[in-house]
Amino acid sequence: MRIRLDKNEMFKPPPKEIIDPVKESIENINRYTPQVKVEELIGLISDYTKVPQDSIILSSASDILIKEFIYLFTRNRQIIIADPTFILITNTAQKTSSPLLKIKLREPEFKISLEQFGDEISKPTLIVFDNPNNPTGSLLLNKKDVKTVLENENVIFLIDEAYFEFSKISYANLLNDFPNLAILRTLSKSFGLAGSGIGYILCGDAIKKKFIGLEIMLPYPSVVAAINALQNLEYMKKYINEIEKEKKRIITSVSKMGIMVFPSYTNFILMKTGIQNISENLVKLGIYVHDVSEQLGSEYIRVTVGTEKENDYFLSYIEQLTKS
Amino acid sequence: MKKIGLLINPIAGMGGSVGLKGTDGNIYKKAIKMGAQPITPKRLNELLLKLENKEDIFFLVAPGKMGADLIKNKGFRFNTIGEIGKDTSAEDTKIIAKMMLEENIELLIFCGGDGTARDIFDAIGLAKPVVAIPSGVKMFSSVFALNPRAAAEMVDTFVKGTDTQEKEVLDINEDSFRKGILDSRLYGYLKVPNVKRLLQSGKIGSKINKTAAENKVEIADHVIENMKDDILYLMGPGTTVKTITDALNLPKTLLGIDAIYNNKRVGEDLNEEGILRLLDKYNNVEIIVSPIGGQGFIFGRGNKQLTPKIISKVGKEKIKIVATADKMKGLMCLRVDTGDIKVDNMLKGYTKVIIGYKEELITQIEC
Repeated sequence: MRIRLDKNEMFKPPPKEIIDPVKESIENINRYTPQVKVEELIGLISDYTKVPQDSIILSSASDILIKEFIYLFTRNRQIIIADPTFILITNTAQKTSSPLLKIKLREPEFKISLEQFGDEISKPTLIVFDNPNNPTGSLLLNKKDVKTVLENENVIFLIDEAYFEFSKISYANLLNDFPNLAILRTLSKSFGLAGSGIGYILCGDAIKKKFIGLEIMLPYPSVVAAINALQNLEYMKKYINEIEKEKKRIITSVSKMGIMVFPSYTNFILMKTGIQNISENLVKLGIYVHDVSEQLGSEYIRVTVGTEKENDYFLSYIEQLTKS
Repeated sequence: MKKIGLLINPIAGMGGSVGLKGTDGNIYKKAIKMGAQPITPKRLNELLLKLENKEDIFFLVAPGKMGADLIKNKGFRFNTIGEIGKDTSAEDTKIIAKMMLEENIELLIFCGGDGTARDIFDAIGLAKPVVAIPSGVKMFSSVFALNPRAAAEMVDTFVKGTDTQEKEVLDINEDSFRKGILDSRLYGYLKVPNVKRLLQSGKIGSKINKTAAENKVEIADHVIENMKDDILYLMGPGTTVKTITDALNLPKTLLGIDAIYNNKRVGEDLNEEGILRLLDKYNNVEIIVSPIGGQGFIFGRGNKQLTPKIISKVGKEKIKIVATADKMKGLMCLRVDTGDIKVDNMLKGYTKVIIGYKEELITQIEC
């Protein structure tokens, strides 16, 4: 048996209501995506996020948006990121010529306090945080602290809310008050559309203007998948409920094995196992979890919540490893 | 076929079970009287059982209880080298390790604690890499593998081919340690195989996997780019700081404090008195230090020449901390133990650590 609990994907395909229209869209693969469909998708995102349509930047996968955002807004600015954070944020930030400041997250809370910024945010700064944080699953900053940071006009703040549907915590309602804020979302996680790669940014005019000329043609099947996903929210809500139930069960089980787990606002769990090279040991058993040894150490793993059967398989083998 | 040296300190670790905190000098005789049992045979056996590439290894082994007795009849090819008497000593370790070096071993596996690591450093320095099986009472040096199984993995990785990295050997004062005082200094460095973790291909796939040596060069580039004329730089011990002086083409006392000013070395292996004399002469002074080992001390371990008086005089904001990203990953925070609580408190709080070119980490200094 081989199970993949390493990429925070939905453990099953989306329902028929989404898959069937995507199959039909393949019939028109010789055509560019009709603009009317793109506009329909932006309208649905607007309804879903309660953010006006002209405050939405749509793109193929949030990965591209993170890269574009960092490259666009680091000119004459330093970058502040969390350490650890989503590896793409780190990799992209390191590829710019701007000074990079990493804020070390300390277990068990893995949070950021305003004190850690010192006077850095009085300088021209781009802050890119994932909230909830990946790979720790924690919420980095509370709303009051986010507002305090945004009050510095020198700061541009991108918050990656890839796991918003799990955490139910968003700072999108601050967009009206702070033109220096941008929120990044994806349909890859809670909507189960990782393979279609649709992401979007919510932001004010000043930030959106910088993206003019960077628009890309979205694949038609991806747009169709996203439209139908946003018209059928129930499957996403059902999936989140299943995740929450299984997450609690996994946390209870591994805690009894003496494994340290950290509170997670996502569909994954960070574990400190006390077993060195745990990820490699699990791969040998056909269990793929996300190896965070480069970020935190080889005794840590980030485990995506899978199906009940997958989770049982993982739990039985992790228990064996803890006993050996 | 790799020629690998194997050397065991047969008395290492015996003091631990009977509460003696070490077997340096003649303390091990007291440990034996108190009923202590040898632990190194078991530790070595764990490594030997786990080795996967035994066909590709030819061992050169210290005689009797320092190795040969423990490896024979286990299916390994080996020759014995050196001679020992009934009682073994640090001198035996040093002599046999040197003999192994002369016989062109490619790697030396040793089993012991901090004291054994110091003996190995005295004998072979950085000439050949080592794998250190932890079995002493005191193992504060970062040269040690996590456990014998991890040591076996390091040996296997070396046999398949890997680069090396330098790790610290610490000198712990055993008399102080018995009194509950951790008095350590940086004794030297040994090279160990750089065991890179086998990474799964993730969605992004491109983990930036720099070697420690590459990382140190980046740090040096950053520090040098930000160095200014007419500032006296007090350069602390360690290889990270030495990489900076190497890049400046300046000599550096690896384990001591040197001073540089306008691209010239103006102080060598300075003590407190020497540093204070320089502080009288130069108005603008900065200290560049790196945390020591797995404990994260930036002052109070390995650089006691930088006394509370000197640190106070230079000031917190003039202290630059450098460390590789890998070293910082293993540290929850940085620590200070200057011997003066007021100075320790002055240093506490958040600070920036240079971890790469134009890359800094905000972390906490605690006491």
